[in-house]
Amino acid sequence: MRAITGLAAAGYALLLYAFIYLPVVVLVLFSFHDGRLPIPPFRPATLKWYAEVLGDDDVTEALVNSFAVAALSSAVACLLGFLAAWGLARVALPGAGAMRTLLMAPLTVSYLIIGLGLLISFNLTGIDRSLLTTGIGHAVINTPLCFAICSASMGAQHTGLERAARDLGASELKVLALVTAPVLWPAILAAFALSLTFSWDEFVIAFLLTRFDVTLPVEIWSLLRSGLSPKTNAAGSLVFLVSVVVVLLAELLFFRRRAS
Amino acid sequence: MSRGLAVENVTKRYGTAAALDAVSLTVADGAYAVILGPSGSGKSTLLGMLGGFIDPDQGRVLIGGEDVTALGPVQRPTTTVFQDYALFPHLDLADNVAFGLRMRGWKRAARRGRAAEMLSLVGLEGAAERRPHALSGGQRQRVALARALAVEPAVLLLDEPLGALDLALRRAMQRELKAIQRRLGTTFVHVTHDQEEAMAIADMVVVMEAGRIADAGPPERVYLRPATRFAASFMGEINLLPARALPERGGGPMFETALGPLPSPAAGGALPVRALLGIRPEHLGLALEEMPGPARRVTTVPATVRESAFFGTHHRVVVDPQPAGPPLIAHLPQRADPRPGDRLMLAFDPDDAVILPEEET
Repeated sequence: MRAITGLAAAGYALLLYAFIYLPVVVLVLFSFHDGRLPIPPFRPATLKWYAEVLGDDDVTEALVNSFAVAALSSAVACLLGFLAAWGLARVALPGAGAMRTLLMAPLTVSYLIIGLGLLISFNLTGIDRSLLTTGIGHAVINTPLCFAICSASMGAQHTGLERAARDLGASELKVLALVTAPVLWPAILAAFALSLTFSWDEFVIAFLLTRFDVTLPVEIWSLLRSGLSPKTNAAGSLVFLVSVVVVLLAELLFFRRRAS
Repeated sequence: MSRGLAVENVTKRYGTAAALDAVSLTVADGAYAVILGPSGSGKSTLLGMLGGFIDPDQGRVLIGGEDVTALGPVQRPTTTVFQDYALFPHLDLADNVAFGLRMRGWKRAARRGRAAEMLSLVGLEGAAERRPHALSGGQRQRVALARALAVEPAVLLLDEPLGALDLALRRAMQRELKAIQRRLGTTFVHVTHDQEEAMAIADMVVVMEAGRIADAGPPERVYLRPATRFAASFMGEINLLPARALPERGGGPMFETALGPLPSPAAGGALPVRALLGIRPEHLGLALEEMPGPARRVTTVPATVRESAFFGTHHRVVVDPQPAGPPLIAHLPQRADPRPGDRLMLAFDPDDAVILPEEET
């Protein structure tokens, strides 16, 4: 009886993982497909689609754009989120609870709504759509996330450390730079890595707010318009690979620090 | 560059409750002062005010004669050893100790050198590159001390620094703190609720009660001649007897107490009409023993033992005085072997007793 339930549980787990990962597996698998269309049967195996993707100037340019947008917007989001978390943790303000809620609420709003709002705002202020506006959009969606992560790791023991630093003559700026930020470094890094992956494969806002220079997801979307091809699979696989690497790095850094 | 300090008439209220109520205090240059009191007596508030972490509602704080009331902790010539040590976990011991010097613009090599000196002062030579999490509680305490002393503060503040240590380590650290203070000559202000700790290290004990100073002075004086009932009982066990002055009839002033008429301790000035007579348990001995000193007066009290316990250095007994009176506590010699029901003749020198002002409780 026990063996049967064990088997059933294992089977269920297998199905669940298949459900989650099968699309990705198919995507990656057919990026190595030796044929014009990414459809079964799978014909192994070639790297020519990767060569084609990386040889396509539009794609490589979009790749660089995506890196730049992700890195800069994540840095901004981390800075804003960290400072907001620090301020709300250290200063007793009237309505601090409401401010917290307001800062985190955008996490529940769909990217489409945020993107539309930004598009309208930029139109009204006469700012042209560009990578900059996309970066601003990504900072907007990732700041609440960074705030939540930094906020959760700021405890009372850090207040004691900051007090000790002031007692020894540190100005507020030095307290932040030499004590608070280094002590919270794992949380800040985790927030940065997570923002990076969110920005890296974000499509809706990037689609609405870019114009001539586009990010990689937007470029992939325009590739898709000319029909399915293993080349699109290769581009998608690259996007996925980068996300996985970033997440793994963050996990390693974050958990290794925690364990020590 | 050590300097004395003074607080003048400082008051701090939280809502309607006064954490400090018009407190004035002077600590001499180079003294080791211990602020002693139960939790909620305002001792930590007073320390926070010296460090600049708490602003007084009224009054002034002076260090070395200068008014520092308006200065924050960054500008004050004080440093603090915090109760939880508050060592920086991301820095090694040398960088922890050198943090204050870094804030004062010292170059890295110079400040690491000075940090090594400070670490050897507190008995942690060679540990410069270790991290705080690898240390025991006692070692963290030492690093916190070295860090606070590295910048040569005018006054070092210690907020229950030994509270987290076990008893043996605490006693050892008390001796060490005292030795370091003697060596550096810096003014130390140390907060604790442990009266033994206070007596072991202080040049000056400040007993606090409900936001006021109940007594302040050298430990011997505060223990033997406390100014208030609270100071008397907080410093150690004491028998308190309500007393009323009797009309002078020759042979010295007398008090009427529940034990009958007792001679008054020798005291300068006029005696109060109503007072409390305080007798420490160790001043109540057996009448059979020879009382030390040639010219001492002795008063005897017949009593019956109610309970007895052996404390190592003495037997602590609770006795019922005969024919009447409140139960008294006495410390009898190790070999006395008192048992419940035993009848004893207790004796004390009236000069060992102390007259305390009667207060409503």
